[in-house]
Amino acid sequence: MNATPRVVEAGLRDFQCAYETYVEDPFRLGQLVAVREGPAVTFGVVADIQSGAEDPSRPLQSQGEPGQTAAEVMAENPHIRPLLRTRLIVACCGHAEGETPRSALPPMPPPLLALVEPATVAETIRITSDGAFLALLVDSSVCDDAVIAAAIRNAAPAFAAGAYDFSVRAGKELARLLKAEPSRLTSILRGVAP
Amino acid sequence: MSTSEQIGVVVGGSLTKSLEVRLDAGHSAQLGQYVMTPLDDETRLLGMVTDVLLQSAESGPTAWPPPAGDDPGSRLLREVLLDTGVYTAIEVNPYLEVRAAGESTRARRLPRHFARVALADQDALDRAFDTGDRPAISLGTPLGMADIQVAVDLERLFERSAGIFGKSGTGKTVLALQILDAMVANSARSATNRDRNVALIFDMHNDYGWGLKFQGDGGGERRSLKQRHPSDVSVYSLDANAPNVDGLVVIGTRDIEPEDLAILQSTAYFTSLAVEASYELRSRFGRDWIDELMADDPSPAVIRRCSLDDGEEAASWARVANKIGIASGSLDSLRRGLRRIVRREFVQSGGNQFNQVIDHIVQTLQGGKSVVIQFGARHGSDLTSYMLVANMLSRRIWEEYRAAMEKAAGDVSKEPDRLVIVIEEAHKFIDRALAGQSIFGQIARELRKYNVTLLVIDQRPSQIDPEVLSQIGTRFCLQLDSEADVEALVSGMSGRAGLRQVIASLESKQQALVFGHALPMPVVVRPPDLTRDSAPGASLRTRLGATEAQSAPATPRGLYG
Repeated sequence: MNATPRVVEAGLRDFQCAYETYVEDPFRLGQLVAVREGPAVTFGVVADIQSGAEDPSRPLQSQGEPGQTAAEVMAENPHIRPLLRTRLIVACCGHAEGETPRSALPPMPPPLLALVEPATVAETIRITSDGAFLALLVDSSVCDDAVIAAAIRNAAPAFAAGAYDFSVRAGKELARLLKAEPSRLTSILRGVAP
Repeated sequence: MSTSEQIGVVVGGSLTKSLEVRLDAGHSAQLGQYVMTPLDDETRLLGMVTDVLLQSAESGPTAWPPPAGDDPGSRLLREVLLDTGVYTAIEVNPYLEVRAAGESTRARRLPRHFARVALADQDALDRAFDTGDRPAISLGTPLGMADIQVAVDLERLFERSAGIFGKSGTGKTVLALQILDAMVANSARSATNRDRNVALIFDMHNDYGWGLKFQGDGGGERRSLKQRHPSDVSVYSLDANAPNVDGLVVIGTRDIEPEDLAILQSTAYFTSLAVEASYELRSRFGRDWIDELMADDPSPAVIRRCSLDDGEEAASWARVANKIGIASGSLDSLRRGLRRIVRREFVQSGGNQFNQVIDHIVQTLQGGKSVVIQFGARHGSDLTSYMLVANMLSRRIWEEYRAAMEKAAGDVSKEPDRLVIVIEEAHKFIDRALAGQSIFGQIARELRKYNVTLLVIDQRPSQIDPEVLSQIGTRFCLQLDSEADVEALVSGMSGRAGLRQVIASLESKQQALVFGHALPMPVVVRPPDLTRDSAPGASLRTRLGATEAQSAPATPRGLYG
């Protein structure tokens, strides 16, 4: 089983990807991911995660004995997992052509069925360090405040000892972007704070 | 452009008001500091910080400020909002365009938006306050710039009258002493009268003669002018028992003229009608008019001059008043006032001792020595004595100077040394009512036409006649409490709103705003310390950074003076 999702729907501003089947530990909300196929490497932030039946006309029914965990039910019913899927919605927040990352929309959507991988620490630092990537997230229709907060929170560990400084820097960029919406800024930053 | 660290960028402003500079994160600026910003490759605009503002980009952060708690969320929110939603800005009064080469000129251009702003460096200030090779007095260090020095051109300082203003205990006397010390030191090493200044100091509290009762850190006494420059300063006193003096000031009743009484109206010794009467009496009774008036009854000479010898009734002062057409109440007032004056030990009946004193002082001044008139413990708190003597001496010495200048007829080598008359409590002499009658008002108005200027030391500049105050070229302003006093000093200055703010922020000691004729732009300074071991002329500079001691000595003045 391949635990790496692939692009199944693609646009310039966001794309969807799906695992081959249901996975219990998909990419996390706000995680920075990269699609390294096509003319440019496309970077995005996981904005939503949905798991459910592959065929919407055949919804998953509740199963299992009282007291059984999800893992125990799955192990007892191996035919269920292939009928399920885990899908992600990713908001684009940058791309790289050659070595230079840009906090801007990619020139074209990522190729369908391209592999979606976690961004490396180096990529995370390059894309997020100045906070400019947040402009695309703030404007994205698939991102809400929780996604933006999660994106900052997830990127911070890449900066190791400078994690708090990064949070402040990103917060300042948000303050600039949300200067007319102080309450929104406050709610996002509450989600960022360690 | 200098490599000084950027503290912010220009975000707005006006040439006639001020520039607004948004400070970069983590930077601060103080009121009175100098900053510079480039106008072009060759020119920097130099200005002074006149206000520090806390601004918000939007109303949100101030309408809903972040919680004061120390939890991580609140802390992060506060840090994020600083320098984004809220920020610090400064207002800068633009003063000078400083060029890499050539003279600085008054600011007539503004920098572009987002021009970088840095604290001014020594190079920019050297160019702005450049005194060339001319002697200068160190003003100390500009506020918040401890490693930078500024100086004022000594000749320009005394080209017009100057003033030191501040409330009691702010350091006016110490500052004046340092200026006078540098002036005397410079005169001592100057070969020609063109370069020399001498001072006539009316020393109310015995501060400028032998020793200064120092009220700063450590207290004690500091060497004053006579100890610092024994051969260049003479000390006179009104007190017969005063130590360390070169002469006594004695006034004969014959020396006192009605003009000398007019100035005493503010002390309530004389009414204006009494002063009017004095002119009539002086003209009728001659030089002995005061001695005549002090008699209980009119003398035969008075009776004869008033034609009272008709035998109708006994001669009396009331009849004298009636006969010469003045109110008897005015005559009584005049006699009462005169009686209080002649009671003083330095006023002697008859004679013209004062002329000898005048001659001696004029000779001393024209010989290149400064003169300190001490009023001492007995007369220092007696404003009437101070005003009478200062006005009488100054009037007559000014007349001597005027005669000498007219005699020189433009031949500079024959002109007397430039004279600086130092008076304390100046507002008593040159208030609105008396400025026309006081010699000091006249000296201030005539600038240096007769080589005489004033150094006034005062607590209440608002009480000084505005016309006279406008002639005070260079102003040293220490802390003042009264808004009227502050307004009087900055009236007519460009950027006066900013200067008002700066004066309001001065500390109670050792901080002064200096501005006016002798300086290209205002400067807030911390004057040099007056220490026990500070050398004579310690504040004198031949150029910035070089003290008198480091300068090549000039020809000894003794050969000339």
